Amino acid sequence: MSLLDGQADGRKGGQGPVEQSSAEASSARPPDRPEDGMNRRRFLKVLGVAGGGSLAATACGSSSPEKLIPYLLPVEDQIPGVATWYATTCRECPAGCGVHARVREGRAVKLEGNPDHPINRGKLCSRGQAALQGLYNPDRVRGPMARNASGNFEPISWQDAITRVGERLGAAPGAQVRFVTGNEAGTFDRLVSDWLTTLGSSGHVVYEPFGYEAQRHATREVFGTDELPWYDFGAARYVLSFGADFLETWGSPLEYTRGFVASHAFADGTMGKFVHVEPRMSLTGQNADEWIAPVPGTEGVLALAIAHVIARDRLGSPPSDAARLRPLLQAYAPEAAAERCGVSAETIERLAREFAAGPSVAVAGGMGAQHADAHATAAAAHLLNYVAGNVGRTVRFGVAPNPAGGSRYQRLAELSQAMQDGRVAVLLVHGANPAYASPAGLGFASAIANVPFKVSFSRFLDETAMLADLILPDHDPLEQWNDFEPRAGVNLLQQPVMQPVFDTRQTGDVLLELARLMGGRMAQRFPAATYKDHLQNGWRRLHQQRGSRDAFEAFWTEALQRGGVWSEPRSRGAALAAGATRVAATPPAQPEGRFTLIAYPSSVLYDGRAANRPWLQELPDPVSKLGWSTWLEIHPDAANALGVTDGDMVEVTSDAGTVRAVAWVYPGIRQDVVAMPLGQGHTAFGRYAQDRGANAYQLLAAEPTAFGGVQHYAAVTVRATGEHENLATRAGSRRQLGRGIAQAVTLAAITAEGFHPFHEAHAAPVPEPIEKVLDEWQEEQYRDWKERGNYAGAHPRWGMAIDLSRCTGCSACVTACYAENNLPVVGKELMQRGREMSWMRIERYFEGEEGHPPEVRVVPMLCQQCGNAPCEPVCPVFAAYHTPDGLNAQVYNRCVGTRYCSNNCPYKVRYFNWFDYQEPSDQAFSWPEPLHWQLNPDVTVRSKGVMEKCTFCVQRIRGAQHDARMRGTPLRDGEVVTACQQSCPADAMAFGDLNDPGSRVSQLAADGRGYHVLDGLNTRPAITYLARVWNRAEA
Amino acid sequence: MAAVARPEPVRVPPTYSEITHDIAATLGRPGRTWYILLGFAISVMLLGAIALLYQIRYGLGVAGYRPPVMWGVYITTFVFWVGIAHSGTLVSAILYLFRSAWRTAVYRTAEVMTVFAVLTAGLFPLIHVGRIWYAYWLVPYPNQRQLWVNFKSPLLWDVFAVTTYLTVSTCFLIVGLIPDVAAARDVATGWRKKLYSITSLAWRGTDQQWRHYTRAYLYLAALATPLVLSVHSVVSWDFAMSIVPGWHTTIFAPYFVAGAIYSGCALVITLLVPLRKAFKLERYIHEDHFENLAKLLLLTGMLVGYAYAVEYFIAWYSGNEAERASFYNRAFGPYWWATWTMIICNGFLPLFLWFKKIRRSIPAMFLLSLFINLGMWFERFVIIVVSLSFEYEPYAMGHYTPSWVDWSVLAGSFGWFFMWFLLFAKNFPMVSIAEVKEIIPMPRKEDAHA
Amino acid sequence: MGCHLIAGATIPEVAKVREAWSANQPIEWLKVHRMPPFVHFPHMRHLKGETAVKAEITCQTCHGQVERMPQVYQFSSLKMGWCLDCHKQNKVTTDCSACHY
Repeated sequence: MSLLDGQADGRKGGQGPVEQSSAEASSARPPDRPEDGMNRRRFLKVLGVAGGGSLAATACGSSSPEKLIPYLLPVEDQIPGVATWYATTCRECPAGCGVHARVREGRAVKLEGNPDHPINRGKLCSRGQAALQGLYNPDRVRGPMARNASGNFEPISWQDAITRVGERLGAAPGAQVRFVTGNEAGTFDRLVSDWLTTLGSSGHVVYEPFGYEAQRHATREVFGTDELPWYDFGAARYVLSFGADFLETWGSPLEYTRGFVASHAFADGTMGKFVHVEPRMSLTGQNADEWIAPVPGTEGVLALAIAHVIARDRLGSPPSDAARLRPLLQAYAPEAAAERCGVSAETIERLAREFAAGPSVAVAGGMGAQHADAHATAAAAHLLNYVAGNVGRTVRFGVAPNPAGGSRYQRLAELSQAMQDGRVAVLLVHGANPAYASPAGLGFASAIANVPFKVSFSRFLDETAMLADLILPDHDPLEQWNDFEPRAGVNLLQQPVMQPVFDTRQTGDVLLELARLMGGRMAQRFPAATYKDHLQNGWRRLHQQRGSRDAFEAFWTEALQRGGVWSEPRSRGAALAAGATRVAATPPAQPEGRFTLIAYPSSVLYDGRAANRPWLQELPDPVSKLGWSTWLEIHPDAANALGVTDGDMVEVTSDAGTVRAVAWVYPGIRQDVVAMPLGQGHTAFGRYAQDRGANAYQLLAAEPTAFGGVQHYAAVTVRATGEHENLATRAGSRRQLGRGIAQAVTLAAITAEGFHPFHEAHAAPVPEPIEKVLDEWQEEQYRDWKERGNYAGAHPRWGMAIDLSRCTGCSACVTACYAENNLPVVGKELMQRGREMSWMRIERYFEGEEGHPPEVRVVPMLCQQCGNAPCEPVCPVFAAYHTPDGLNAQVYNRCVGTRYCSNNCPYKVRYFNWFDYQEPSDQAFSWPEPLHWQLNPDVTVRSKGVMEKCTFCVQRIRGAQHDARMRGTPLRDGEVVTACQQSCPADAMAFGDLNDPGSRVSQLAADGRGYHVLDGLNTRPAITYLARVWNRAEA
Repeated sequence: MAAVARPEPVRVPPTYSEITHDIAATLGRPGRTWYILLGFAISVMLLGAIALLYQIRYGLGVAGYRPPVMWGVYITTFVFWVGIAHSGTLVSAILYLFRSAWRTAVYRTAEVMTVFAVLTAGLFPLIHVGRIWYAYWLVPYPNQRQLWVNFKSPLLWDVFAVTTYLTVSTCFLIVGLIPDVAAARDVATGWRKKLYSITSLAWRGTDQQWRHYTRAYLYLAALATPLVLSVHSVVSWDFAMSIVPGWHTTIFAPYFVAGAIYSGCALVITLLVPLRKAFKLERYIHEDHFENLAKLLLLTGMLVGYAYAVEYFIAWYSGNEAERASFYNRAFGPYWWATWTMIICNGFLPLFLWFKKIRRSIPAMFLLSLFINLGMWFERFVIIVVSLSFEYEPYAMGHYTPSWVDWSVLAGSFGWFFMWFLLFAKNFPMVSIAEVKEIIPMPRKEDAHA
Repeated sequence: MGCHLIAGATIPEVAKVREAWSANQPIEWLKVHRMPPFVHFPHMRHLKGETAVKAEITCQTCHGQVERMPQVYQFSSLKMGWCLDCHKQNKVTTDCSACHY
């Protein structure tokens, strides 16, 4: 666990602006580590202001006499004020994206995607951005803890802790030792298994709540392989999804988003088509050109019917053995199928033709669609791909992400039973929280009580850790040495990007130490002194396998710098297995007089593991736009029937249990279906997660399905409780009121007569000459601008172009903005009063007449940096003013707080500091120690009573300009990258100089689809939106 | 204003000595009611003060603001009090220039009200800023930071308008007081004698003094008159200069001035009725005065009603979607109750003033004036809050509800105003002794012998 | 550290430095030149920037003759006016967002 080595070889070379003073402003005292006294490395951690801390960095300034505590020995790669970057791997979900951690003065302050990473290509989602809040989470377990006689946890020393475990393991029969981990594909996974085997146990249970059991079961049936296929969205011009939320959580969201956008975004007059089949319109569904809501559970029927038509009319170009499927498909003639799934035969015929027409792909197996017959859905999708001849083209094997590892809910159920029967002596839990993320009926929590000795390696006091006897907190993924293999041929490395924040220890090291302690076989089997050595031994083998010519050290260093090693994927097709012909769709019976509940994965909180990240709690859900809560999506008509409306508390009861949630009326859902996101309703897990919303797992049936997974559908009754709460959202009107905020056009229309941006209607047309006079007067003003003081001379005009045909509304940009610009988190109560501070928000509007399935449009709304800004002239003190390079700057320390600028801002993108979010004594304090370690030193932390806003990450602009000046060459286009743009998985944003005709942004701004929001106000925004294009026949 | 008719002469005219005596009597020992009222006013003011301190400590968040409604009760109340301040100058200065004699009995009350109303209004821009401790940055002054204020900002114009108005109206009041405090000085004793001796600026009532005095008063009146129009016009530009639908309209200046005088006259009535009872001034302030004020009310009230109508018409006629939506939202949106309170109180109720019976019935006038005060506060609330809650960006629309802090500060402002008013009423003549004497018929010899 | 084993070995202040080293304690220096946190001031630009080089700005220009100070004190006011004077004198930007963001 040597930080120094890690940084030495992991060095990415410094970037970022030199900001000495601000650097001091933002460092704070490191935490005290009681037991290991004064070691040399301690000092290396320390730099900058002790005492005052970053919270001194307020717009109204200063704190008492400050002390500078220097490094005792300077660290060669830590230059005060200069950022250092380290490559590592994001472990917030099993996708395995590569990240670069920006480190300032020994603190990780920002995560960004690793540009040459095979999976995320430099992009990062909200959950990835928020990994920092796992690292700096104030509710982390700060050291080993044991349950004392009175049943409370009390801190103990590592030595003591490890001895205790050693004794118990020594005493227990090896077979009765069980180890539950999350998906750790890689060295750690192998270590755990070997470790257990050496102990004489085969009890390694991998549990990922999102286990994709249905999809894996189906793949084994149809193609006889245990691995999942990889889908080439980029090559598919036609995507047909049966409830696979591939833009949210399914498989490898960032990778699939990239592929999807590549083929589906409007470019050169053409684009792919996307049809989404799901009873509920998920975020993925909102991005579909066509949304089909079949009878719940009948997607399989629909898929097979489509396959039927393709086979019948010989539309596809399938491999010869597809013929074997004919008898199976016979049973799914469109007319019959239409009956069962409630989708007209014509539609089925049309879908079949469209699907077979070009390179296409059908995907299925989202957790939100994992009902009793989900394996049939997945299998049907496989067959559909097969008969259309997609397998081997857009559907490939050998390179697929493996989000679940070996996880099967079945195994957890068995373990639970074993514990119940007292067949488990020692239970170790790492990286999994089954006590929360499993159906209540499973009774995991009660079963665990029968285990004499339970050890948790959790970093947080989550539900499972609360039941443990001993907690040996693991390092945060950003503090540890590790590797991860999200898929074959991709070996990713994790390295510590900074010193451990708390007195934690890497579980790998603990296991090795235990082995040493127990001696004998164990000691021989695991000789490595540290987990890092163990890891490197593994990589030595990898080094030989890859037959790399250079020495291991060089190989290792290069791997660290790149974030791992990966080779060009060598993919293959697959032939039908015997089981393929046995596929049959047998939709579950519709619950009589009850709703079908869909418990779907939250695209923000995933399975609940991210619920203690304040940024994510506050991030408005991409679909409902609610934060800090659990809601029940319900169709308007159903809501009327029940007499509930937005914000009413409802009680949802299934055979398994009852939960309360706030009703959110959503036209994008079937009348007989209600839906609820997973991830909330924690009973532990720290201040941000605990006692918030409801845990939808409570409603799910415990018994494993035929394919060994949890069933995410349940029959429920909904009852209004009569209570009401204000929705925690900024969203005012759901509709655009005809103001052309989010504009869209159909492919048919744009090909026929191009795109005509929205123009506000006037009762009487403004006479031509007057328009002319006005424009001239405007221009006159600008000429005048240009000649004054700072404004004289050539300046860039910073601008942005946002392509709405790429934007999926995933909201990664919003979290990135929080991370980059020190935005405070205000909490539920203030969010209910619309006071969240997100400089960037994704506005979501419903189109189409009431009662019909809505057309959902999203538009990222941030400061438009108007050339003729209404906010500027009204500020009495020039706190809001126009910079020479065209930004609407806000001088925080000059602001008096009249809020006139905000009143006069038509886009409402100015945010006021209602409270002292950076003042520890304040009720709205937003950065409890050590959360504030994350604060970006280059950005002022705003104080009470001032207005703040987006300025296109001016600190990055100034930083880049500084570097350019220092190296004496002009700024290149694309050198300045704003935080939002950097993170955008769909690459929907371009930023640069509008005065430079060659810049990417200028070219996009000139695009035929370009328009300005509220153009009629003559604010001359610097942001050009490119209209959304729907691939629809009708104009 | 000439339209305002001369009142019929006082039936049983009091003699000079009676006048001096009656009015000086108002300065006598305060009774218990006065102390109770004063105590009440002060405690309400303290409540507001506490709320304000709380807000300064924790930030504006403790008030009910809900983006996009960034201005709420505070600015509403600011405009309300500035408006109140107008009738004072109107009655005392403009009517003076028009030589309408009936003003003499009431103008002092109006003036006092003006000064204290501006004093109250002036607090609100400070109360409402986020960093009150930097509020002085709104004043242009040379500083080492080499920064200047933005003269383009209507808020800055406010700063000047309000301070100017405060200065001028205060001077006007003090000058008007001179002969009266002199008279009071001659009867007073103790600390009051000192107070009056100072404030009467050694007035002896010589012809020369009178000559200078009347000139000075005339010029001051001339100086104050344009302010009646300018000040509230400037205040209205805070809104008219912005691009907020419902604010961005050219009618605002005259509309606000009319409204200001309207609300001012209403409050004058609200104050006069109890005052004349308490000070037994029925002989000096009677139906005629109320009737004249009522006519003023009727005129301005109908101007205001007309302005409302024009607003809606233009909103429709402009064809501007945002404008139309904004006004539709006013009338039928979540704030319909506020809008209709305003329209009924300010638009319809004054129509009762067409009836002479009502104009001359003091209880009716009192009641009416209360409704108009209420209505005028809501007018500002509707213009400011309701417009802001429904602007251009549909996603960012929001509903604002004031918190206890807003309400306490609002109440406190009334406490503050009445505290000053009560203190003044007991220490200075509320009716101008000198000018009342001017308008009663010359006493004849036989009266003296009778 | 190497130097101070010999250089100024007799000076009591230097002795403190040696003590700190042997005690394995970082020295807690008192901060003399303090910028409010809402100002961003890159030293490099003010020394190596072309204008700075032309104007022959050195450490001493702002920090004074530190080498001659028995005890370091704040030489310049570091007030905004002081910044602006120099910026105007050298005809470089006076745009607010050059330092405040």
